[in-house]
Amino acid sequence: MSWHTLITIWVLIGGYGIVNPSWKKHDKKEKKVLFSLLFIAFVLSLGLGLNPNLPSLTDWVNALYRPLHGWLSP
Amino acid sequence: MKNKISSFQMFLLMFQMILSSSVLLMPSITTMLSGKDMWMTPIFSMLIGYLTIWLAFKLYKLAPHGSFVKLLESTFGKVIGKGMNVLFIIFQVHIIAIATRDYGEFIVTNFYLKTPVYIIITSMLILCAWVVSGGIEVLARTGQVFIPIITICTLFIFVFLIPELDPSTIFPIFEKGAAPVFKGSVVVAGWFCQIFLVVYILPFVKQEKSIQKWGYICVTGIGLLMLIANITVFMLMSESASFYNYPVFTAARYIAYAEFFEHVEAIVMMVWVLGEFFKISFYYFTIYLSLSETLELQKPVVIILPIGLLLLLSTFWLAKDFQMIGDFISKSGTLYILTGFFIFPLVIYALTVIKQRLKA
Repeated sequence: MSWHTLITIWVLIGGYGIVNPSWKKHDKKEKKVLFSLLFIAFVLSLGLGLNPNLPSLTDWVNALYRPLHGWLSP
Repeated sequence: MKNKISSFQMFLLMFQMILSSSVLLMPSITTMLSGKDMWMTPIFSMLIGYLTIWLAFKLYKLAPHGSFVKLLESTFGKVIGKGMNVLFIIFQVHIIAIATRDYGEFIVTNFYLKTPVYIIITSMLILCAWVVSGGIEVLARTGQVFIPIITICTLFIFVFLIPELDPSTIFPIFEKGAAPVFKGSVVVAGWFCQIFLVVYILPFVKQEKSIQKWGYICVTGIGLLMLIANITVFMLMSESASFYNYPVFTAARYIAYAEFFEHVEAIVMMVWVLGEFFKISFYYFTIYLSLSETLELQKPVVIILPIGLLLLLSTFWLAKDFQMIGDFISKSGTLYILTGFFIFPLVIYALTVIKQRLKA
């Protein structure tokens, strides 16, 4: 993903949070979970911005199941 | 999240969740693995579907208040149980991220050639987030309106193709023995076992007695439609079906009647978009539900949008292009899905039963 796309996404998310401040009414625990998820998403977007070919879970799963690949080949 | 659905609505959601991507993608992969005998693969895979429904119902009955999340916590203790729940949520995010990217790639490569793929995926995720915020009842009622339309349109496509079919292409049967059919059946079983996700919505079903009945009807219905799709595609394209990414979409292009009834592929697009909408919404709902139960949130609606954002970013992180998706589905993906949606619940069931017997 390009930086341009990632910045657009985060500006929209921030804008939505300002326009619709209903998240402020939730208790402390829910706000903690909300910001933790946003933080994980932010770290992931930074990673994707810096390296679009960031090693992913799919690569690890492929490596884990590689010994069985021949079993499901034609 | 206290709204209830009927077992028929549960059937409709499960039916579409499995069929949405399988009808379009499956014939190509099964032709590659099973050749002329590809049409038989859904028949054998249905067994895994029946077993998964049985397993989901058994786990639901064993779980405190029918919650799979609470079952893991009561069996393995709070810390390990929560850890297992988080891992299972990551697994679901992985599967749906790949399905969402596949949806986006199909739309961009066949219809909206100049639209960026993230616009297609974001629009779909926003729509799904809206439905998920309404709860399972909204999703089920939406399904009641659209799923019959999708199914009828899919059947019409196959009916219109009948004049083009050549039944001799499927003979001889078992030309290369049973091994290729077994390989193809394993891949189709990967689709069937996703029906395990029904375990999350069982506490919302009103008529508990008819859950299993509708579950088995659902597996039979899915199997029959897969069988029709496979037979139609193979009788039309023979072994060249494996060269196409979406053989049913290509097959729809053959439909032309009276020089004005043509370009039926637009219907395939409608079926695909609506079908994927239900699949993504269902996964989105189960991820939202399991995360809010794991973290014991009172008003979890606040986490819907961050989950959607994570799903959007995951589609670009976990599935980089169509080549990667196809490769993943036909190789590691099937075994990975079977591990997560069949072997994992089976182990959980065995351990829970052993623990309960030891306690007694």
